[in-house]
Amino acid sequence: MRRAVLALASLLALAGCASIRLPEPTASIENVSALRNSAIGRAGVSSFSLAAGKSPALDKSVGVRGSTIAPEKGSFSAYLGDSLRSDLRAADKYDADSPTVILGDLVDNQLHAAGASEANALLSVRFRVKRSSDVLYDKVIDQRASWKSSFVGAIAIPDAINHFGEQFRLILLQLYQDPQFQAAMAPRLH
Amino acid sequence: MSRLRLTATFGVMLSVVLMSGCATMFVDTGLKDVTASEYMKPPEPKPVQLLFNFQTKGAANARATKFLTDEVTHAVQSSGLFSSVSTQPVTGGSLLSVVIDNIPVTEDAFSKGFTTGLTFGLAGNTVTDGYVCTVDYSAAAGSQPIQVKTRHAIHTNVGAKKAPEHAVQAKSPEEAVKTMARQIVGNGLKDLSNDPRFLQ
Repeated sequence: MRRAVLALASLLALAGCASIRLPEPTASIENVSALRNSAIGRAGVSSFSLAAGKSPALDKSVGVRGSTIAPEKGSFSAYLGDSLRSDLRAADKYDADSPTVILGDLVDNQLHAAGASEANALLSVRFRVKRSSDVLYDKVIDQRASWKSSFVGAIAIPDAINHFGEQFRLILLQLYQDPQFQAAMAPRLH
Repeated sequence: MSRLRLTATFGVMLSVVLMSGCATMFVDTGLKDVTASEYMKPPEPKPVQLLFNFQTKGAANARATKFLTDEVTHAVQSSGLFSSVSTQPVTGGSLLSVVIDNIPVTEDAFSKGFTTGLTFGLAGNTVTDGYVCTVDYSAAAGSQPIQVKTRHAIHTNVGAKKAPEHAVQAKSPEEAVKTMARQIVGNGLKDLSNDPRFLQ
């Protein structure tokens, strides 16, 4: 596996730069278990978009040593909404017709992998839970990560792609584990 | 020489070695394919929801997950331990999670590749990738999961180097990785089926 990655990365190094696409999200056992083991009710997923006043570039791509990482389709905020929908479906907690919906605004999205020894990333999202016109939950969650990097691009770039992609899963895990979110998502009588 | 120039030189040498076909992959023979009769099949198999994730050094690797999903799904289906396999929730709520983590066994892989590149392949080296497969099975939502772990390895010869012992040469990198996935998941499922709690 590493040889294939090294060969690809070496080709990228020779070519100068590349655009890497994040594949469609897949549900993970950690996130699905967090949802299955909580008492939250079913919900729908509403708008996931860039927060007002933020640079559109935050939502489109991030750079890593001359290459760019972008979602397979649309924007990073839409990718986060798709990740949430994937988790809810896999945990049997998704209902497109539910009056309870989850919304998200992308506040910040950074990747710094130019360093020779350490790289880091930040994802910041304002999550809301609404039921009809009532706002039951409104909080900004920050997902920070740092990892050991390398001055060798063939090692640093694939690591950065993996850690950056995982940011979307981890921020959702934070959301699922938030007691205030769980309280807002508790089943209610219609 | 500046660090940037050194990095570029390393990359070019490594590329020359890798692209000249001097690298050959071998699948470790510590694990073998599991035959159908080796699974302890339940009298009445149930449907199961399958979640699969590939990781690299503990971080989710979305592209590798996509690449191996069909292979892993087929391994679970062909085991005969479940009546059906789905990515969506199933009646009864049984859930099977398969996580394969690619961990470095040869920590200084780049240095070895560099040495090989510097000598135009004459000083060959072997780099080993380790894989740990964790299988978690919950018979129903909220039930205590059963967990088993299996380990595997792929060895890569770079440059002129004798084939490693206890390993079978793969025709291509794709075949090596898919063989590893099939065998590590098959053996994990075999161990799962041998757990008395699985048949309850």
